[in-house]
Amino acid sequence: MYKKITLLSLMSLMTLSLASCGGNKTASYPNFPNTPGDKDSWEYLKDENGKIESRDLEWYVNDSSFSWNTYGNDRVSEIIKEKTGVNIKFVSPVTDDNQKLSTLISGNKLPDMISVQSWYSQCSQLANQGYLYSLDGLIERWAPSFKDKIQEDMWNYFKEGDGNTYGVPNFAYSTKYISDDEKLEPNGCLMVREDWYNEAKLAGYDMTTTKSFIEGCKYIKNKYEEAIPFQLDAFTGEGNDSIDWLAQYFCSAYEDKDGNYVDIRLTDRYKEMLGFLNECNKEEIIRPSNYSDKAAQIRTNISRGNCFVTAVTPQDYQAAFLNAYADNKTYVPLILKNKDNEAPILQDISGNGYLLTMITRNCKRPDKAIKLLEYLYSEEGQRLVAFGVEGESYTWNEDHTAINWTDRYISGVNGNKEDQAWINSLGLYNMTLVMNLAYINKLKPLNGRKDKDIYVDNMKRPLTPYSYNFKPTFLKHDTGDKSYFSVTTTANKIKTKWAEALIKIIRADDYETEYQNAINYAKRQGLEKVITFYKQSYTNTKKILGVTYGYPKNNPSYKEPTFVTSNGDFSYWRGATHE
Amino acid sequence: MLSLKLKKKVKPYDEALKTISPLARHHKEKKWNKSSIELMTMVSFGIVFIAIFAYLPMFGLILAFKSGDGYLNIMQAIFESSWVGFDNFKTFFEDPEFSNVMLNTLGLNILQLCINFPLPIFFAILLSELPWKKMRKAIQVVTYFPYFLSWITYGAIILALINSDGIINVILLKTGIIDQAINFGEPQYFWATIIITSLLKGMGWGSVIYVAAIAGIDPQLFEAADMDGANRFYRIFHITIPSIAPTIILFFILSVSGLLNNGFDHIYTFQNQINLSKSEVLDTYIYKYGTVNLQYSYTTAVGLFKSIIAVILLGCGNFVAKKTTGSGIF
Repeated sequence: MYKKITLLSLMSLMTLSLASCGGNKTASYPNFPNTPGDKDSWEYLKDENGKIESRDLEWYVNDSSFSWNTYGNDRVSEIIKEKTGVNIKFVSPVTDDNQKLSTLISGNKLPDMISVQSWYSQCSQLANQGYLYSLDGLIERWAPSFKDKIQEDMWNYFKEGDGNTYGVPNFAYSTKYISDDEKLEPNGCLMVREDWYNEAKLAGYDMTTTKSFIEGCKYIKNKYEEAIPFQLDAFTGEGNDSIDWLAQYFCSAYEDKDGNYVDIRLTDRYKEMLGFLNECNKEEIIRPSNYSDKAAQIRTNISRGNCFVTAVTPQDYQAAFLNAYADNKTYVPLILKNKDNEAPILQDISGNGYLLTMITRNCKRPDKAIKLLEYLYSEEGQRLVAFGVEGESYTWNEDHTAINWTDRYISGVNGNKEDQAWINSLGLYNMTLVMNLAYINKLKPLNGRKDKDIYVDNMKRPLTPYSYNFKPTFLKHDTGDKSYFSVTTTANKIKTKWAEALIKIIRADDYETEYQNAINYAKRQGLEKVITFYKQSYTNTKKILGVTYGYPKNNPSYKEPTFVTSNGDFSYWRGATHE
Repeated sequence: MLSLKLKKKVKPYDEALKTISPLARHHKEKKWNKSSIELMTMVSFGIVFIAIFAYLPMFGLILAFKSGDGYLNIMQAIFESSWVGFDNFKTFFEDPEFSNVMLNTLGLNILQLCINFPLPIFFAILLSELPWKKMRKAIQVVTYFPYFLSWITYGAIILALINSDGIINVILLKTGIIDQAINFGEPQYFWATIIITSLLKGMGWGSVIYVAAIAGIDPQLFEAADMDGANRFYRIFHITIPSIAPTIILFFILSVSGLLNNGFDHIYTFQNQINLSKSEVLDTYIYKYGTVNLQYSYTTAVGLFKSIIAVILLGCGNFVAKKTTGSGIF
């Protein structure tokens, strides 16, 4: 009897526990009253007395560097709450290894809203497996005014197989704000310490060819004991950003002449680039510790101004570059050419975004969440998070085409302590999760900028003539395809192994053999299958973007930029002149 | 047939019961009294805890035999995916990483067993032999402290000390021992780094149980040995070590069963892209493919394989201990 009771209790316990972990696949919407579309949806949140019901929303941000420490105490968060009634509780992981996100997904513990890297396969999987509300569905019911604000190209790009969009990206460059032919700065590039570079140039090394580059680095290494001749970014399980940027310098094309997708790892130019890095390693201009150093160590190296040439993504190390700048160590971009002396083809800053913000089916009040999202997505919301409150920190000019910082803001920037404290209390540039840089950068006031702001703003601009839109490389996969998961698994496995192989190739006595071994491994794992799938995705992506050629050089209108200086064209500096 | 067998087994126990104390007989005869209900209530919490956190998750082991990779929700993976037999195990055994991962896992653990297992015992004996009580306490506090830091914090401090510009390299360079900074992140230093950092962090705490065991030895034994003219080494080899032998054996068997456990956070902290050939162990492998890439079925298979080996090792450890010392844990 006792045995039976115990057994039954255990079984019930198991069933209850298992049931509580189950997912939610039904696609229904809660029964809240619909919102009219004659004015901005968040305006309807106010009751007859002009008050808004307060509501807590939990927002998971899958980026350990995200923080908004002043939330709840600054002006921006105060206005967001005033407009939408939402009190946001942000959660972010300690490390960027996806562990926290995976745990939230597998246990069905996703909070109300999530922001996840837009290229992660989980975004589509979450949508397809019923974890998310379709934004189209939410807009239809509770935010019809959102439709007027949508950036069509981005909206279409993130459409899933069912024709619905489930998330909005931040840092995306929509054609609504930037036309396709508009030239932008590169995403990543080589930066060289200006004073040392001038010395190297005087010694006869302009460093625009691989040979001259290595000789120039050796010259500085021998001259300055503290110099780190060539600093690459951190090697991680994902690969290395520096290698991606260098591949672009060497013109590794991701598309053949017929417009088909090509895996750049298989191209001769990519191999040539690896050969160059191998040579750099043999000549000891890459420090051995570079292969094991984490980003924090690299940040310290740049902050100290010890790096002669860096191939990191400058915006990821902005604070470090500013520390070096404070010590009078300025960096300028550098042009490096392949053995055929071709001009670099660099990826510009535009893209389809970084974090994709989605509303999960665990959200109890999706009607409020979509209104909050609309407010943050709107130009009004964008100005708030970047420039503060109109009349307080910025003002429009007469014809409403540009904005300027207010006198008080400029006074703070110029060192008035009281006004400085006030600027800090605004909480600008914290809410980056729906940030539209294309809009913000165009509107950014030019008054009140200090030298360091001008420096940071213009660091990469001289390479603008060499930068192009690489949007077709952000592949839009058919996530409904049966082979999608197996292809993704294979691609991830190859990527992980390739990240490991990169170091072996660079440090090898015979880099060609190591390279071939890595390619053979990838082929054994199923690289061909991945390429075939990606070819189709590439064609689909180009179709969505409405382009025939994805690689700039394949475009019949491509013309090599005029060489101005080995550091690019400084006339591209914005609102200032480089001395 | 079964009931007959059971009856046969029960008989000698009942007979033996007659020879033991009346209190024990009382417990046998009166199954449910107030005190046994109290005891059962107390133990039931433990049983429920184990049922929920140890046995319930075992249900998920069926994932090892299903194609649950690609599902986001574990429950959907368990209930909706199809059966694939031993395919996931086969994939693991055929993975080019398999031999390297196993070699690193076993190699690192055997080294730890040979070095990190006996040293806390040695340390505990040294401590117990220290005549100055205050000094003993001070050493204990200093050696215990690192245990209370997480591997992330402790590892970050160690990494700062041993990096190219760190104090270790600076000292070695200044004293002329080396003429070029050593990159301790290279694969050839990985195992040594793990063994040394493990000792530095865990030796003090690892010795606690042995210090307690030594404290429990009857002092009369030492006094008698002193009277017989035994010196310090005789006392250690003939009284201290034999007295704590059962504790040592117990922990040895448990350590052998954990030969495939490397302490994920420890390894992960010191792992980098260049030392993967020496640092990729089963724990980090499972983490990368399971937790990060959501390959539930594949990593469940790897985890199950690891558990089976652990059970076999536990049995072997117990067998060897029984054969050599006459005592084991079961």
